[in-house]
Amino acid sequence: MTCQLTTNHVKVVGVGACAPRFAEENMRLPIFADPSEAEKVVQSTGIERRHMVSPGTTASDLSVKAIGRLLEDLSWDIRTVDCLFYVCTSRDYIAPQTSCILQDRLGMRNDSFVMDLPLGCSGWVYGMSVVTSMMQTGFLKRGLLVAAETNTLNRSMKDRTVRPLFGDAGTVTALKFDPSWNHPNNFVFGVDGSGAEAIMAKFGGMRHPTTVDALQEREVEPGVVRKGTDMAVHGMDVFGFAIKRPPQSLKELAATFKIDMDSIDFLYLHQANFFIDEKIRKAFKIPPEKVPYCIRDYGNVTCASIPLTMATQDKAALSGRLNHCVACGFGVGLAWASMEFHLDRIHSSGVVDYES
Amino acid sequence: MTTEDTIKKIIAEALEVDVEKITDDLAINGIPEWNSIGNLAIINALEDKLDISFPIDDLFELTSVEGIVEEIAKLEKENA
Repeated sequence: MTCQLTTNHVKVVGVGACAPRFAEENMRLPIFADPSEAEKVVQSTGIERRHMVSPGTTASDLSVKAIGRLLEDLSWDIRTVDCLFYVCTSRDYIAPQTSCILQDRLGMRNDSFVMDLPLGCSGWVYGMSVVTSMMQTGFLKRGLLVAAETNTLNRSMKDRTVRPLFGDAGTVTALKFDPSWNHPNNFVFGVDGSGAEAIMAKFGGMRHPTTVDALQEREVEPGVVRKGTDMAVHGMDVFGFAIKRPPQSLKELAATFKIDMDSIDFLYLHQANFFIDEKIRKAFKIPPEKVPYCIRDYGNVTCASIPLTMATQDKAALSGRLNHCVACGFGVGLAWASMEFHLDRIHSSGVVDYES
Repeated sequence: MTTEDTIKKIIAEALEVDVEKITDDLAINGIPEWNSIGNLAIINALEDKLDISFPIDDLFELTSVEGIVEEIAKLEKENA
């Protein structure tokens, strides 16, 4: 049985992003034993550098800048925006939800709808399902889907299994209700909570609160030193998941909605590892120019990876024509989702620098 | 047909260890160098040097010397 959804009359009109100016080069990381180990990691992941915030800068800070630029480019007054969804796990506070803080910071109306969605790498696709569902009846006419993360703030700098992989970014996708827009958004979803510990920050929630002990660094293995509050990624569990679930999900989407994968213009994959994404691309026999990447310069920015790719790649095609697109997000949860959608002459604000 | 010794040599080069360390029963996490990143390096090196492409459905079998040898033999048989 397929967990599926179709939403109608909601179209993407623009996308924008903000990333910290500072970028850390993987080839120069001191955690590697020698340059050849660094080279091996770069070759195996496709990640050359990652942009990082300084402590004190939050994902919502990046988001405010990305939103500001996109609204300006679209000539949208923030007071005409009816709803905002904030996909993020590195939120400003445990409570209140960050989207409430953003409503005030951005100057949104009090009579607007805001909600946090604390999802990881599948978050943009899940977010699109929520925002388009909410908007499709036409009562909410303009919406923002923010997907942002400061991954580097809860990954140990002394953990060579995670430091070379993750970066920080804030993105925003602007959507509008349009009764004449007749390209449905089609989704399929999946989840397997039995794999929750594959990608987990164990301490800091209510199950395992932050304690003095949880803040002590421990050497898990040579080259892997982390605190209980740091995100741990179990590489082989994630590898097994990433080579199995996304291709299954894409096949399920294509079969459910009768999509000819040869006919699509772009396949947007969550970018955790270039090698694995390329395996998925080749499995569907999709030419390289239809699967854009930003992983080389930004690393894995979790929920922001798909919109960041849109904001940085193929601007002429996205702004100049109707594009038939498929996206697949997969990761922490474990959760995954795929969607079919169209991008028709959308505006891209590119990436705004954040000096932190 | 690619010999087991050739496969072990490519694995050793990918992991940057002596080929003597690549024993018949070695698998992922058997030595520190063969972690998840090392596993990707092995797959990359084998595809590059043997001019083959592992099907995505079979990738998870490629986590031991034995599994890799069997997979390559299977691919070569299919392509013969």
